[in-house]
Amino acid sequence: MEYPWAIQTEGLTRRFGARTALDSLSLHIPRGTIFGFLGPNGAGKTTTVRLLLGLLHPDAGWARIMGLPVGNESRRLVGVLLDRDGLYDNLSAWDNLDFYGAIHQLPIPDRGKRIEDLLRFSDLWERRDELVGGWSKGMRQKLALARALLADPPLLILDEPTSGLDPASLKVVRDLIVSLAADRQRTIFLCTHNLAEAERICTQVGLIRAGRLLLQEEPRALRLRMSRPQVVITTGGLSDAAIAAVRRLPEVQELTADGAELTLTLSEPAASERVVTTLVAEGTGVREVRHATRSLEDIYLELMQEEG
Amino acid sequence: MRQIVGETLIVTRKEFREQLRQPKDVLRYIWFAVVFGGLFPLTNMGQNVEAMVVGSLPWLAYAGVVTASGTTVGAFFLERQRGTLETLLATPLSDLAIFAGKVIFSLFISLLSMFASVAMELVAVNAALLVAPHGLRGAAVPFNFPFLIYFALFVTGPLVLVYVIGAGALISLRTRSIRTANLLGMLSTLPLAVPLSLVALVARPGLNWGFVAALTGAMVAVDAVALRVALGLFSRETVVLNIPN
Repeated sequence: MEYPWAIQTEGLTRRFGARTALDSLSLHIPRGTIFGFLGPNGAGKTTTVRLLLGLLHPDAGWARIMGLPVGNESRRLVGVLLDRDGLYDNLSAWDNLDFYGAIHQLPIPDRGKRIEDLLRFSDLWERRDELVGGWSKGMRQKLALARALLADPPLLILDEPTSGLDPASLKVVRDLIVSLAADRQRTIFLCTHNLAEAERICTQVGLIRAGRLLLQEEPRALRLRMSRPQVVITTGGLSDAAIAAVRRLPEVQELTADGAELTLTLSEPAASERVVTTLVAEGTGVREVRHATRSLEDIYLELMQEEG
Repeated sequence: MRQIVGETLIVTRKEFREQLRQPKDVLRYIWFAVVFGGLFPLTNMGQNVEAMVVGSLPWLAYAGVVTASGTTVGAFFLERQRGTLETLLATPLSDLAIFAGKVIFSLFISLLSMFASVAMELVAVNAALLVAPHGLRGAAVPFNFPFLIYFALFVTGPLVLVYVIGAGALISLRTRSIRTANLLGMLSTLPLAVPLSLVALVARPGLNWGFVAALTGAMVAVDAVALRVALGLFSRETVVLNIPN
């Protein structure tokens, strides 16, 4: 039976002197997941990636990639794009990919075809013989991503893969990541600061701060769990009596009045009807009622503040 | 074993591809050959041939040592500084293959540099003898080195170069600037005076088989220790922890 977890860690811990960079990280990422690993700089994301790639040894705990302990065999199953693109400036685009194709033991005829396909897909085919040293950040990023995909690995570890890309390329890369996971059961471990992107494409997110994993959850479930119903009501004009009447409702947890606009945090979504009824009863004209949902970014910032 | 050899050659081939794309470096090696092989020996014209041969030996070897030091810094330090080393370490290549691939590249280029210097010296001396047939006492056209010179350069020489490359690799993986790496790389050749002095104590120094053979044996021992230490310290973790942010 196929091992269910693309990445599995238990109590993974790494210290640098007195500082604990990663504290008992336990992750279970199923195959076919796009996992967004989120956290501020210095939270432990890079240390986690390095431990998953076997570039660092853990002080405690263990990690498995597709069921294999971390080592040369597990590294065969991983395509990486790290924070520095790792391209050789003095090699052409073709030679950069050919080198990594040889490392992954791709047979020569297949390797050439695969490189051509990836360069064409990345819109870099016409520039395949150029040295990449003079290339723009976006072009380099596309080539580095092509390199990660070269051996068609079941797991991709990508650190800010859309950084430096123009909007058109960004969409191509985003769609590619989604289709790799959805259509080909590839697992993508995505380190990113782009929370909107994570919210859009990730099927799971993990939030890490100061080396500790705060949560691992589906973004949608996280939003539902973390969001309290919020309502924004635009009126024709608010009287003090109307505000006081609404404030007295037991379902109203927070209330902010700004001119003719009322922002409320409610204990339950259905309470918005009672709020509107109360306002109307106080002679207030209600023009619009909007139910606001919290974004992943809001939740992230709140969690980071709480922990901080 | 077969896999390690294959992986090593992949790394070596990449180093060559990179090097060939840098004409400045290639020109530098040609310049070494001209200076160390062509110009310095000509300053010995007027002496007897044996003195000239012994006198030119250090220059020929020096061409290899300078090249070895330079290429090693390029192969290790620059890869670390440019951020390509971490991605390379994230591949299934073994530590040994990455290390050996780079060492073999540096060794090959250094030997090529020495070989070019020797060839340049032979051309220069023969050309000089054609112009001034009595310019070098005891020598005539066609002039060639005694076999012992070739043995010393291409059997003992590589053993010296392996030490220089091993030490240069370790220095390149730990220093913060390329200038320091280059300086320490050159300074790391100084400890070679120890085996050289020990050999000189037991064998008659000079260009004789006893001295060269003893030096060769000493260098085998030095290399065994140097490579063992270098390989022991060349692990993914030590390399990654020394990568500048």
